[in-house]
Amino acid sequence: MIEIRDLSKTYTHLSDKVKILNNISLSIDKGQWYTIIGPSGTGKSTFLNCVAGLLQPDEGEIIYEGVNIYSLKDKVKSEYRRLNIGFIFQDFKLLPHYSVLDNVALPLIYDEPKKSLYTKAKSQLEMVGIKEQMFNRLPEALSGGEKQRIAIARALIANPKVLICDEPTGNLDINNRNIILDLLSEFKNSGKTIIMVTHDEEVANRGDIIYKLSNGILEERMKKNDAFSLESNN
Amino acid sequence: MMRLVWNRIISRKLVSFTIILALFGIFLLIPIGFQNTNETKLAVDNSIAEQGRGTYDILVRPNHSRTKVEKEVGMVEENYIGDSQGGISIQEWEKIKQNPAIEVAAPVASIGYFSGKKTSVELPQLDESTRFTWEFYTSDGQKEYSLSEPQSLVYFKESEPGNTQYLKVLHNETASGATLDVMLPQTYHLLAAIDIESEQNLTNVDYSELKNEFDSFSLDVIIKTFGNIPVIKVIQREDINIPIKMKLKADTIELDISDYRKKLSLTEEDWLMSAERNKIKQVIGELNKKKTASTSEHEIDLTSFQKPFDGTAVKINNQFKVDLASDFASDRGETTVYYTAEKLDYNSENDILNIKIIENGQPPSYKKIVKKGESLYNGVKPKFLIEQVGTFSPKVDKESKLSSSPMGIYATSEIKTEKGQVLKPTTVPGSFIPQPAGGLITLKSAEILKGSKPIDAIRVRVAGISKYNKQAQQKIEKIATELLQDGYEVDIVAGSSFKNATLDVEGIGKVVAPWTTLGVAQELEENWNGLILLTTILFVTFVLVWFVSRLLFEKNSLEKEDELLTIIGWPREKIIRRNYLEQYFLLFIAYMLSVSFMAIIKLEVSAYFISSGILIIAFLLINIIFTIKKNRMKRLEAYKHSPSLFYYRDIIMPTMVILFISTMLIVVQIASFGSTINKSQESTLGQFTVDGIFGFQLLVLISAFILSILGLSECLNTLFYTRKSEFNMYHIIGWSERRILLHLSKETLVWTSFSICLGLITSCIILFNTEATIGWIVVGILSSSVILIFVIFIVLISKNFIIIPKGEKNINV
Repeated sequence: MIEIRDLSKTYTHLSDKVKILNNISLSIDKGQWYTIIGPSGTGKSTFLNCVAGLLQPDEGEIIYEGVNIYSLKDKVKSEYRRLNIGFIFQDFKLLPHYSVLDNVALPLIYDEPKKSLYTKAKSQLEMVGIKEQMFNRLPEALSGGEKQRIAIARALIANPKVLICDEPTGNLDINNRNIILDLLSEFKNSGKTIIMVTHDEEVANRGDIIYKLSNGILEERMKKNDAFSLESNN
Repeated sequence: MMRLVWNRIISRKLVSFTIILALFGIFLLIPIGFQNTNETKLAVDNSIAEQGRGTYDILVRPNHSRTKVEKEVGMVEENYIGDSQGGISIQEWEKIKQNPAIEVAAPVASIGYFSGKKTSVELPQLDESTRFTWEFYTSDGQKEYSLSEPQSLVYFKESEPGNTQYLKVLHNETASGATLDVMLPQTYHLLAAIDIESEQNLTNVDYSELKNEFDSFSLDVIIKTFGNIPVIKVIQREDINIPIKMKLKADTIELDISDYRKKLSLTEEDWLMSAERNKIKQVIGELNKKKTASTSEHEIDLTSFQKPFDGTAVKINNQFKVDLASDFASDRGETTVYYTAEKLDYNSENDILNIKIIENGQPPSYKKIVKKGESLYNGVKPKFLIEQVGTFSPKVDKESKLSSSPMGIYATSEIKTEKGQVLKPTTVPGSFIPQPAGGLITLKSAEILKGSKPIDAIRVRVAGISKYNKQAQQKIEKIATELLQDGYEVDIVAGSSFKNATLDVEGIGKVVAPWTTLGVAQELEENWNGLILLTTILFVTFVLVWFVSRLLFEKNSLEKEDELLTIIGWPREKIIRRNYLEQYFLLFIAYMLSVSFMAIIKLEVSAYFISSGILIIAFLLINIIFTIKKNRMKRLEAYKHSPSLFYYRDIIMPTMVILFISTMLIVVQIASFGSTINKSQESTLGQFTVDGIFGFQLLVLISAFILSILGLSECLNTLFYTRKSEFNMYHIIGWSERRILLHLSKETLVWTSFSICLGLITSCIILFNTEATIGWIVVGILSSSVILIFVIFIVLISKNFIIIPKGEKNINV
């Protein structure tokens, strides 16, 4: 589904050059949950951004359904992102001035008629367990778990094929974490793909395939439950 | 803490630089603005003080002599004494003159339109018998008018020196045996009366020739015929010539003088002109039909030879060129006939004064004319004789072009058609163009013609005034009030200037005449003072609002950091100090830069004081604004309409206020400036004043413009910077760069347009209550569109804030 070929990215800090991603190649298959673990600052988010078409790599290609997304013009690339990829972040990245409903509808606000879009957004919110009386609330007035559920509803509004999650449960308590993970499992079970970055063992174990990103290289490919024991052995 | 503050300044390089630049502008431009407005005020005051006073200060006329048009347009026309009605006696004038507070009281009386002696034009005696046909023309600069019917004279080649043979119909003239004389047509010129000494004091012109004795020899015959008649001595204006042309046709014809002698019943020795008049007329009729052998036509300009009361006889030589004549004829038969003319009857229509033809003719008459006196040919004893005894030459200097003192009798200002063609008064009494007095007589002579109250106006110069300033105005007003109480019609002309009045003249079209606008100096002073006050108030208000607004949104943008610092245990006082220390830094850097720049451009010491004053006020404002606690309830529900506008109102509102006041400042400033310049340029004094201060005012205007743009740029930059993560989010969720830009433009244009519109409406309300002209209000409104263009420009360049350049990181590694 997504073919990552020889992906490299270097950052310059003062006069030092740090190669944060080094020649990574990976094949992402449809309907799989990929978890990427690794210490802070190892380039996990950079990897996600490159895959999502947000950050031009120095070298390598991201091939989505046969097309290198970095060969596309901004408008087409944005459309690829909008229609195929959903994003979930640790800090939710909800727009503080928009209502819950507006935040969910935002990705498609210029693509679909308002009425049908808001009906879709409402059903998406109901699906993630947000009650109607919250629809007009500002994100500030909600709990972390609710915010993340809204972020998931926003990520799913365009019915994407891939969900990119950057520490989606990092700011949540156990209860809310489980709710979110269950929602992600539902998404994966509907045949969609998840690429997730996390530090949390339990969360990582929800994935089908786990990678460890270290020194710019995706080191190992492991089955779930083995990753953290392997990490601790190291 | 200092390091923390400094780091924040450095980390926001662009924002910090813009703020420093704007503050630098304020520290520098306000003192320059104040200095310039002071210089502008001084320049206006000086121009008016130096140039505002004309030849005299007060125009005194008999009660009820102010015309309808003067009341309507608030101006005095140049020929204000034109109707010769009089109304002030010599005794009354002397009483005014005796007032010690009056330096000069110069009376003037319009007597009417008089004619000088006619002189002859001698035709050439050619080798062949010739039929001469001629016609005299005058011109008003635009059209030619015939002054006489075509006349003819037939010359016979058999003439001998001293015995010229010719035939001509005579009109009140005698025939010369030696020369072929034709008389110039009668032309009429304004005669005015003055008091020699007062007029000399007023104008510095020598009128002493009016005291000359006349040559009694030339009047002897008349006095012998009619008995003793008062003789009115006239001095003629030296620089006036009568526009007059002779169109002469010379037809060579084959004639045998013997045939005509027979026809005229004359012998071979008889002179042809000794024949009976009826026979001559009959023969000339025949001769006019006679075939010509050859014809030549000539246009001969006699203007330079002809003066109002003292024409010069000329001779046309065989080459049809003009020479001075040695033998000539002169005719004073009509000099005892004169005309008085009523004032022009103006009708105002659509702000244009119309003048209708009263009597068609060559040229047409625009005034009602009354014929007075008797021709000497009528055989009735005339009431007077006039005799030219000398000349005078009025001076026209620069002052009289800036300030106007309508002298009534020296009118030299040009009246032009809309195409710029200069029109001149014609030689008939009914011309609509004010005729300068062609001749002057004494007041005593005026009494002979006009009776006991001959004076039409007295021009008063107040004593003890060297400059036209407030004290001078008070002195003039005091005297004017006294004269008003004495029952005169009084106009203060000090501080007056020329102003063009557009007249629609029947048969000519639109013409522009320089009239005298009363009290223009005071009006100028008031207008410019008003503009300076408005500029200063708007500029200072703008700066104050800008500064408070930017401090408010700075405070709002620091809210999140403040919360964080509170969480990690910073006391509130320390947080506040951190916040205002940054502003102190920025202020101080800008202040030091501006002070250094002031030293380079060598501003006055007062500029440093003003800058330091601004610094202190700014410090105080920072302390107040950053210390005030904000108590706002946290909102749970989203706004239904324009959520971003309401959510970011703490930042947007101050920006809107800045936009509103910038728009107002620019529109009001441009419209008032333009209107004041326009108003000033209506008069020559105003033009002079504007020339001197235009640069200063323009600098203030440009400064205001630059500061508005800087302020606005800083506000918008901060707003977009604050919302940077929001724009990134749009990018992440799949909006293209164009879509984000459109979304932002739409949103920004909603509130910027609202502020600009509000600014436009407010400025229009202000301007409609002032004397700003619609044209300049429109220019002001159009200029404010620069702000809107600038907003669009800022939004476009803010793309850098919105879109993350390829290859850079946008979220955490």
